[in-house]
Amino acid sequence: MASARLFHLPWLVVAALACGERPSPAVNGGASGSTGGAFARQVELVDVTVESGLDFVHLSGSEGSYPMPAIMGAGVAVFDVEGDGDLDVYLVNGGDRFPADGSPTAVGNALYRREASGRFVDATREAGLGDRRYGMGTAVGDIDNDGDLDLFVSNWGRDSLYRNQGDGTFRDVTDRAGVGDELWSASAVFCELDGDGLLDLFVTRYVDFDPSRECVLEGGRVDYCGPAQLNGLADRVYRNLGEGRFEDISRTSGVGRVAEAGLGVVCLDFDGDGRLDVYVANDGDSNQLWINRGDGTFVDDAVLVGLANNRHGVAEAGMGLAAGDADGDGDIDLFVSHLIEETNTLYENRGVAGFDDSTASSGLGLPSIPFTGFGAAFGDLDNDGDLDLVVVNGAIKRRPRSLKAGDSGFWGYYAEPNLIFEGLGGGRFADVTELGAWSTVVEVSRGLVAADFDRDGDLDLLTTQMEGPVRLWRNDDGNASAWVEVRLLDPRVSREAPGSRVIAVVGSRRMLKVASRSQGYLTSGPGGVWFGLGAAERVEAFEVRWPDGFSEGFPGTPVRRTVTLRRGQGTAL
Amino acid sequence: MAERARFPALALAVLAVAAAQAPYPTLGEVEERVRQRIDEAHGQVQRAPSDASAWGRYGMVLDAHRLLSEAADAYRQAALLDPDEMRWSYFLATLLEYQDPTAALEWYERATRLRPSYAPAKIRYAQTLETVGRDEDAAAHYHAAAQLDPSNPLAPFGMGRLALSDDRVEEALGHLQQAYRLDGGTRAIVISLARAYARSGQETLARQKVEEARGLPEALPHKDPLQASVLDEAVDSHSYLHRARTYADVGDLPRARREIEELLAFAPDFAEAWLVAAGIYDRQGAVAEALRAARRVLAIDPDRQGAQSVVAGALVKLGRFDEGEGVATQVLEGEPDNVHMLMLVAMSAAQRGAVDEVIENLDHAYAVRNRGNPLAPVMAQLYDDLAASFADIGRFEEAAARMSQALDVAQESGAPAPQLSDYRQRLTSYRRSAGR
Repeated sequence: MASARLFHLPWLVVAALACGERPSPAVNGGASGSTGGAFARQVELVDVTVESGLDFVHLSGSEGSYPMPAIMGAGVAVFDVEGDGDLDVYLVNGGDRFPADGSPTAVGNALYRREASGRFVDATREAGLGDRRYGMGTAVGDIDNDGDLDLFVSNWGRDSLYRNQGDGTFRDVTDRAGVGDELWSASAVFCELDGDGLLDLFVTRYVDFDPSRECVLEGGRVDYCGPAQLNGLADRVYRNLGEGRFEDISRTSGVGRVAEAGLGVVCLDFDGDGRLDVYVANDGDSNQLWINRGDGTFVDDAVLVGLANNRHGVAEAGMGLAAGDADGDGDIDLFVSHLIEETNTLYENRGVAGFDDSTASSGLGLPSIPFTGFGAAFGDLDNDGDLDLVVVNGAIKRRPRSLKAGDSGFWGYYAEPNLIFEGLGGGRFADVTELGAWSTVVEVSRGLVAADFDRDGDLDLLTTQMEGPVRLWRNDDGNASAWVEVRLLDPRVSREAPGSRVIAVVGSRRMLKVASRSQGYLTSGPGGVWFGLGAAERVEAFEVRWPDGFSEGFPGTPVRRTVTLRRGQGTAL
Repeated sequence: MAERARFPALALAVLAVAAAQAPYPTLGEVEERVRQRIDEAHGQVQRAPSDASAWGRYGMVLDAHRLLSEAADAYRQAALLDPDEMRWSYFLATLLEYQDPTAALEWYERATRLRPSYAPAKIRYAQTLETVGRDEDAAAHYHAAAQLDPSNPLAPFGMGRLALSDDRVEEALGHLQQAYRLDGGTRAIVISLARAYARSGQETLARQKVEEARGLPEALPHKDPLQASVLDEAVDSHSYLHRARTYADVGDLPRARREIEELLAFAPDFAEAWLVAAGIYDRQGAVAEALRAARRVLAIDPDRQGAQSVVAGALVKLGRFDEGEGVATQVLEGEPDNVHMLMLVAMSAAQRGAVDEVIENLDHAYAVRNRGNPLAPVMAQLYDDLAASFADIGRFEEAAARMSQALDVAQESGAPAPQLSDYRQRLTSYRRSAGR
């Protein structure tokens, strides 16, 4: 929005919403909304949570009180725990009470393994992943290059690192690793920052919350504090030393010298120099783009490249992130979700000119104004070749209950509908939220992952809710169009290669995707990339730019399959 | 008015509207003062339902307390009853701008037509046009606003942003430099100028502006007397607190003090308000009052973060170094990396001539400092003093090291060019003397 109007804190709602109206689905900026109908016919989202076996319910332990961490979580990790090819689900919990001192509570996180039948089964105890700390988010990566995926959990209180022992069980290696920060951590990502072949860890931290603090808003109403009322925390960077040890290089890297309210994070090579950089969405502070200088230090160039603030020069309440080629022009754009009364923001990559806030012309802005966005994901839900966008919402201050059908008590004041936008091409989107049951479920959502859980050739959606059930939304009929999933493997280190860019050559189109487990809000998703291909019958070729900048070409493939591209087996470009 | 005369149906509608009941919000747990203010304004409407001013005032009271749905209804009624009064359309537009910008446009259009000379309305209209993607229309309104009020930085700021997004980099630079000349103390303006410098290839200038922007206030400097009249209707404690902070942010300390003292008069146990008061008093140089206010905070809430720091700072400023150092040391037990307290201990140690303690605490503060630290100038000065002291006794290697730290901190804090130049010259001199 144009400016931060005095007293415009967002806990009361807008006149239009009070009348029960929803934002118009029409696309702003002159783009035709006609293809929205085609999308709706092709994609139907069906809530299959109950039959899937995912019976997890998030607890905040805070109803009737207002400890700030209780309104901010929690996330999820979707990854293949035992290497059987299925996507398992690790769900982060809050607690049965809010522990002011960060100590464990009586309830914990949960791991659900996907069985051959397609059902998920609670395997928390066997896996040793029932972390009982007050949870926030996850990061997934192979920290020891042993071919399986390890797990980092960020918490209010001590963070946790779990090493996958290769047999589906995990061991808490936090103390040895030295990554058990005690303050309030949020989104995190494993990526290789120093080129030594080992995945390092970047952890965003939120604010220095004082549990005894109670925030009183206009009129004397008590509600959750916001970041403006607290000091931000500097993010943490941990260098992987090998043998299970990490070194905290936050201070020496420069990252730890700036204390902002960090929430979302993505790790990509923004400047094309063969070194992975880190972009952080901050809540109420300018976002940061930490450019990796290759000597263990980083410099924040977000302002210079246009990624710090919105087009009005104003810092917004950055929550979740999505990175993708939103306009199909061959580079990576960034989407950041924001607070009610702000628009979500699409930063369009314009190459050497940096990034421009193209929210207004994209059609993504106006429908987002009435809601507080958290999880966000680009994904081609209808496999038509254009990226679509999903945003999940949930207020952080009480709002009138007009959005909620029926009375669901305390949390009904925070519930908001989620949004889906169809990509129309050229960086324009149409709000197609009214997709059957999807639009009727109004909760306090936080985490979001788009992945093909049922292996039927289209992207399903998994959402997490505060003080509510996880939901799995099956995509029916998205697979009417062709697709290819690409997994990337670097045999030199026996693991996937986060931060890689993949181009699929399809006819005259060169479709770009990035491999990044960490996107959205507090979540980790699948490590591969997904191409919707419309009516194409094959991909002619692939090009991969690995995280260190080395580029290879690979032969193409017929559609409707998953392919693995191995570094060194292509042709150097 | 002419339109109304030509369309009897509309006149009838107005009469019908005039008979409408004034909406009364669900107030829940609001402060009694708020309830009273709303009741009073509501009563005026009930007594005079065809009085546009009563409806408008009721809208202002509701708006000021964030009761937006009812405020919008009241403004609409007021605008219907008196379509020639610009304020009701304008207030409705500013309210809708953050909820439904497209709907706000028609009310901005009406407001700017009714009072075309009011530049703030044109600027808000332009900003809303930007939000909905009508950049050309926005540019026209920014231009008009600049003509009306050449001293308003938001007009060239808007034109600069629009030019930059349209790749007219040189034109953007001109507008943004003008905005910066009018208001170089607003973060959005400074970083937009930085971006323009970066786009024009002037990276050094761009980075200087980025550093300069750190710590500057975020909010755009809307000088909008009409909008301020709405905010002044708010009587809840949070609003007083917010107004006090806002006035303090823009440097109007007397007004900030009035607001906070009015608040404390009816909310004497509001710890946060006392803490804000302490900050205002401190900035006014009323250090003893700041100390009393901070101690009042601690009496109400002994664990209140920040209050002890204010106490420590005030004691040092009052020359009570030992007491100040004692409080700072207590704070450091719980917050060992508190830069402010480390600096106070260093300053106290300097007063005692305990050079080793100065260095120990200063180096600790240097190692854990964050950019934007308001004490950075003091840190630079202490390093500067240390460097000079080492140089005086011929220990140039150490002098150079301290001067280098002074320069680091000064650069990070956006110190003026002459100071940086002086530091660089002395660093070079010390290095030469050290034989490097």
